[in-house]
Amino acid sequence: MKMKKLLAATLSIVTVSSMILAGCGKTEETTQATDTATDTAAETETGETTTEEVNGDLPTITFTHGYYHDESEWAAAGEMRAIYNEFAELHKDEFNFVVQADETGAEGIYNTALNDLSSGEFYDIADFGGWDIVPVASASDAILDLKPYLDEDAAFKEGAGVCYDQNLVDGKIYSVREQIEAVGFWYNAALFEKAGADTPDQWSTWADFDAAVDKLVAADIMPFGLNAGWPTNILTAGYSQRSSDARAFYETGRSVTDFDDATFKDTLNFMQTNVLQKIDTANFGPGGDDDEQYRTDFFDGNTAMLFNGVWDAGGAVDCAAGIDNIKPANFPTDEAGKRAALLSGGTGFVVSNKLDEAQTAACIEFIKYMTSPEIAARIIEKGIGMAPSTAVDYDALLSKVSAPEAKLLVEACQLCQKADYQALGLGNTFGDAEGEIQGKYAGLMDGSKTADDVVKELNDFLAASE
Amino acid sequence: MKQHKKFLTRKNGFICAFLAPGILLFFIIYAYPLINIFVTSFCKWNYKNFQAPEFLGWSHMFDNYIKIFTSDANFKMALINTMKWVVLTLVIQVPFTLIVALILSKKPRGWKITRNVFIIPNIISTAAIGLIFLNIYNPSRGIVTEIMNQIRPGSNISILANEKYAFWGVTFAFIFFGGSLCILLLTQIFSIDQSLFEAAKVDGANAWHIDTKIVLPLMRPMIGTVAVMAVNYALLLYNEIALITGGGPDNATFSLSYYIYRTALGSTKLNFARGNTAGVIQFILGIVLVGLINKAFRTNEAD
Repeated sequence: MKMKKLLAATLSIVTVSSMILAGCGKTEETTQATDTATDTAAETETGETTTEEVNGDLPTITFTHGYYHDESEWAAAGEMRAIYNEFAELHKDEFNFVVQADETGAEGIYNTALNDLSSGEFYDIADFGGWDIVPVASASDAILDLKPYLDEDAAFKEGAGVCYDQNLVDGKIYSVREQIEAVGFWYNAALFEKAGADTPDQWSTWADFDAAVDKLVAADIMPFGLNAGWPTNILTAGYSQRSSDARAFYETGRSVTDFDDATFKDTLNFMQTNVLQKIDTANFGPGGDDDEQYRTDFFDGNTAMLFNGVWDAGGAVDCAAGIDNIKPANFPTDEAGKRAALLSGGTGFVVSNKLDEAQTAACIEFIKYMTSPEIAARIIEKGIGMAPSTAVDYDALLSKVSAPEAKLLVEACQLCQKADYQALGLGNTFGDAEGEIQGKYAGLMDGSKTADDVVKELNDFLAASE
Repeated sequence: MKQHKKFLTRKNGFICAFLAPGILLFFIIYAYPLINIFVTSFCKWNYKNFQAPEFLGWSHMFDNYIKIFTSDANFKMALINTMKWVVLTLVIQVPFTLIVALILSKKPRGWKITRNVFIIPNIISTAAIGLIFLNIYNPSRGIVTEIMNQIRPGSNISILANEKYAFWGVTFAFIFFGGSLCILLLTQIFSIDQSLFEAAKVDGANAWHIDTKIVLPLMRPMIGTVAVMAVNYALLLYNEIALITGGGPDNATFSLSYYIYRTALGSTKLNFARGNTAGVIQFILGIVLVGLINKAFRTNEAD
């Protein structure tokens, strides 16, 4: 009897405790909600549209983006939020444009979209910041084809720039971006001069690159720092634009079924003998997000070239190499005088196809606004990055900006835009195979792999991933 | 007799009442996903049919298993690496931790500080450990590179960018960090009845005899538990790989967990089915290894 009482008492205590704990949890949730509301209220002071301001008579669209950072942390984030809020303010009498910053960034937006898709939902409109949600979202019939809207408006198409062709898959365009990854490279003119080598702006073909590298090495100057990832991928992609045959294979990109191509093998041979085996092991890192030694070495004045995008104009500020010595360049080709650059649109704004007509029109209006020449110029001028719009007047921008790093950025963007051949970056071209290709650099560098070995291994990967 | 039976029934009811919430939670949190993983390993489930996995059909139901074992070099690499790490934890981490625990149990001067220092790597995040090791192995200024250059001038070995060394680079980033396991072993040693040691000393036993004839045999179940924990860590190794090498170079440091992530979520193809297939294999491996270790150390038997 005593045992029964004890058991009953214990179970009662456990039940009551569980309910109390559950209640505590609820209280915490409410607290969080209150905190969020406070944050939103604070943001309202800076012009962020909030649900409290929503006019119930107008269509409402929620736009989610990853520019959550404090301005002191990343000034570009503040500028982007200002751009969004100006649009919301401009159209407040037509529709409610609710701007939401996701503090998990673009990757978090992508992951949330994956979760939402599994239950048949999707954001109204979101900026995926390069995270490729399109294959899964389009296969789930969740997103809007933007091509008809681009085709009916020449200015819109001009604003989309390279995104139009690059994001055209099976006759549909599911995403347009207001910024693109524009990549050439940077060089230290003082080190080239010291080595007596021609600077990249004087190069006519890749043979000039080889000659310059040899002179730098002879002068005991490290030509570049690389790693088993990003900077080496840039050079691989840049060299792949050298001839029409090489470009043709490169363009097969994600649909590639066989890496056994003469031009691709030539690219691998070039990377092995003319690039990777020209540098010390100390200048070849393992790759990965935190491996940025190649940048540090360049801005410290220890290496002559840096393979990175236009955005690294900011890295030249107060660097030991001296901002006056840092210059942007695009890639030579094997066609004398012709130049190449990497311009990757990737995935940016993606719109749900479940919105009504008014909501859809509002989303299209927003993307048009974001790709307009005015916003494109502002994105470049403020040092945020490069815009895809082909309508940007770079000469006018050059005379408008005064800060040395801003001038460098505009010059770099102009070089990329002027390049005779503009191609996608390696990742946007080869998809998952990019990771496999970059995995082979270490073996090419130490000579444990040949181009043929790499081709065989890449084909094995393709077969396994089918 | 009747009363004893009644008591046992009551006792069992009491135990069941306390176990019920735990079992219920287990089924909701663990069993459902486990069944889901198992079932979807026989399906086609990637970005093309994201919302609805499709059964491969009875004649093709093992296709995912056949594919990963026959043509997926990354899976094979991940499986081999994981098994190597399992073996290495058993032959390096567990014995090393046991030796440290035995030494500390003698309470030499500074043993408390040593014990606390030994546990530090286990209480700081693996993210921090990853960054520390990235710097240690840095090819231009890392301490390991410097030491290697002193031993072999001009060798300039980039540990993490070299297929031959990267595996060991990751291994040394976790294999000696047995602080938590050491605390368990120490607790067990300290719980041994002191009269046994005194009796042994009276009989003329030295420290070696005491450790090998009394301490180790009495610690056998705890050593088994520690071995299970260490093997489990090696089997599920993920953070170190993601932070230090990203599975490279040339996928030489893939682990099963990292393979699952890369296949299911780290790829635009979102191949959940194949990721789950690897998950089933990892689960089976875990069960088998735990069973073998429990059998070897007879952890369920009372002395």
